[in-house]
Amino acid sequence: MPLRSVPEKAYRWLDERMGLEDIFAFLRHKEVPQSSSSIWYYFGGVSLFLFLVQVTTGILLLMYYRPGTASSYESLQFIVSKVNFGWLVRDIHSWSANLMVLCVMIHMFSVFFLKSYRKPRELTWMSGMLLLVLVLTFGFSGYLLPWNQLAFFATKVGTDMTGSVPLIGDYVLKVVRGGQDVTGATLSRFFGLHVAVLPGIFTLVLSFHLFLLQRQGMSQPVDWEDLPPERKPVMPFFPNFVLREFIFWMCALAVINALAVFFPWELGIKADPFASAPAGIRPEWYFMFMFQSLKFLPAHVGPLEGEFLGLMLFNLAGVVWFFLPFWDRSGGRGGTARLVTWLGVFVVVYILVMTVLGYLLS
Amino acid sequence: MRFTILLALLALPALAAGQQSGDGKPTATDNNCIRCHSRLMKNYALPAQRYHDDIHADNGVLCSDCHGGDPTNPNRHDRKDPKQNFRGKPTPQQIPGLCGHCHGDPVYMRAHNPKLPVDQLEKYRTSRHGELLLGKGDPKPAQCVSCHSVHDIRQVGNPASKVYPTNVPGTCAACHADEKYMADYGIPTNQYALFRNSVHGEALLGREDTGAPACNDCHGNHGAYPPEVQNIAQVCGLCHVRNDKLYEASFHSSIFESIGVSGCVTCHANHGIRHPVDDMLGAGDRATCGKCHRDGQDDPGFALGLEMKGVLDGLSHQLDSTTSLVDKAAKYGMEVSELQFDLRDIRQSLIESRTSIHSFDTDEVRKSAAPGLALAAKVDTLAGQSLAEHGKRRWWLGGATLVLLSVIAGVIMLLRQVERK
Repeated sequence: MPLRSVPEKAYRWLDERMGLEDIFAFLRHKEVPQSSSSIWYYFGGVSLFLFLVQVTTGILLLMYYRPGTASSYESLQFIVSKVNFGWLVRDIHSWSANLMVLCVMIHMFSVFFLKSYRKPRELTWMSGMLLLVLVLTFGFSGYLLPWNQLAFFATKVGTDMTGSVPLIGDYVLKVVRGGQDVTGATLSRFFGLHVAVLPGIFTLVLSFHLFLLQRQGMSQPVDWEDLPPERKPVMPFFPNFVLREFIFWMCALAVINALAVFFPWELGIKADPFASAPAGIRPEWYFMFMFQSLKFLPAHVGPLEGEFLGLMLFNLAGVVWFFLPFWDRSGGRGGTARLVTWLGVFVVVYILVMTVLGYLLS
Repeated sequence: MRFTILLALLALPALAAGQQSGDGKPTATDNNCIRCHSRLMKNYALPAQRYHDDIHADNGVLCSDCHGGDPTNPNRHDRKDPKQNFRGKPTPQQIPGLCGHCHGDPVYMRAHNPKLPVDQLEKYRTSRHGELLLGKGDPKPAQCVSCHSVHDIRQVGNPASKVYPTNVPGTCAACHADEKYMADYGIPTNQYALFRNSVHGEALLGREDTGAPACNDCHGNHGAYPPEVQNIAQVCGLCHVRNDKLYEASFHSSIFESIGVSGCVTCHANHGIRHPVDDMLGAGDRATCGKCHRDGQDDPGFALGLEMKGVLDGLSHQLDSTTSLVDKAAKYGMEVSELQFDLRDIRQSLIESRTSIHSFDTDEVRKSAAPGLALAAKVDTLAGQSLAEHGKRRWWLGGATLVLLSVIAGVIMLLRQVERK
């Protein structure tokens, strides 16, 4: 039997059972709009790639990581110093987590400015927003797991905010922390959330998000609405778009590798609940704009606590942002659409300015 | 008398509670000492105002217990009336006996504060202050109220007390730093100024470390006396135990004793003791060996100083270079927490070596430095391996990046080929 006929036979065997030919036919006919803004389409795919990196490195870390106030820090110390390539796995996990948040944010704003959330993609936008919230929760819960001084106090400050909610604040705080203070109980539930609850929910929502993407295809630029079909250039999804996406994935991997080697993630000092808070306690960069905004608010605004009012405003803004496809019903780029674009510009500038101020003033 | 005090103690709650009678006039149940003195002008009112904060007020001791008189008598006290038994303000010479009357009575003190010693008066009689006050009738030396204050006496552990550890130097300095007051005694008045800038003063007054010695820790308190030449090392040895043991066993101890020179003070001074440095050994400007030994190899004592300094300098420089190597590895993101822990052990070895110079035996100093030097060599090797590992990682990164770039280039070529069709 000639050797080259083996893969062919295997393909045929699988095709008969799985209908592979139909899938490839679908992919061959699937097309992606080709325009000056095509580059933004790739950030969703890069976010997906980084999620896969997170899952892979996370599983590897789980082989040695032992949650607990007496073992978290020590096991991580063991991973980065004794386990072969443990340092690389840990640094890739930390760096790709940060890059993932960045890519998801770029993806969200590119969808916003390209107006890709409009009918019939309302559910794609909302599931994407849900994924963003899940990614941020992943970041917040994972930050505490090394059980170092900075993570301990940042979590303390972060969870303190829930306590400012009237009536139920104290109860919510206890549920989040597993008690009145940040302790081993907090570490246990953050660990459970990070490695079991969140990955499960994230996978479901991501599957739904990707399903919608396949059903509806990629959105066309708004300018194309009135153009004849011959002036709407497209490229085949497979292999053209897939190969381009692959190049982006490889570039992302090269960037993570370089960051892991040249800017290794510090392990810091082990958390000591009885020590005084170190100077310059601040959250991860993606929460910095909220943290700085709350710092600018006075202690009390009327009958409300400043911190509570700030949190409520951010929550309200999040809800408004979530339902964007339902209140921006305009077409094209003029009229209301322009106002929405300026609102987006304001949000981006606000986040950037507050983040920079947060680092400069801390 | 005990019965009277007991009666007075039992009557105190009633007296304190009954200060305001219905018609506003003093009654037999008022503490009339407080009542009248509160209304007096200036200094006459101070005792009544301060007494609320006094430990004696908390324990039911009445004004009359020290000053005599009858607090239940609503009329003004009359010193001339023998029935009132009013003693007025005691003289400095009377005060130690007056305080010692209760504080020297173990049975009475057991009922109030069993932890408090009862030998203060006996010690005071042996102190320099006691000798002058009680023996020579000099009214100026310190007695009980000079240090403990009067009418607002607080427990020693109370930070507001004049004898709380951090307040003791100031309390002593009130007299001992006063040139005019001390003029008759022919002793220096710069002790407080020297102490304030000393290693002990910086700890006690600067960092408020109550474990650091105050005046009374070396001189005693109730039995305060200038330390004699032969017992200074013993005084220092109360805290610096190892240094004292090494010094006592050294040849220096017997030589110093035979020529009447104090051990510790000769090199470290007394009130103005500064943080010791390695340069105190050997031949430099700060070296103390040169006070007695001649500069040159022909003086074995001088050579010994240089040898010991050589050992300390060797370990000290080794620690610096090892620390910078470990810091460099840490800066590159290598995990060096175990090495940092070892650095602490090397530092400990250096401290022990510095202590061992009090043996004035180079072999002893070398023996103390040896573990530190051995550990430093091990840490150097491990830190070097860490840095080499970091170098390797960069090579791996270079290789991985080359692979990735090749893959990217291949995909770009494939893409062009696909799009050309």
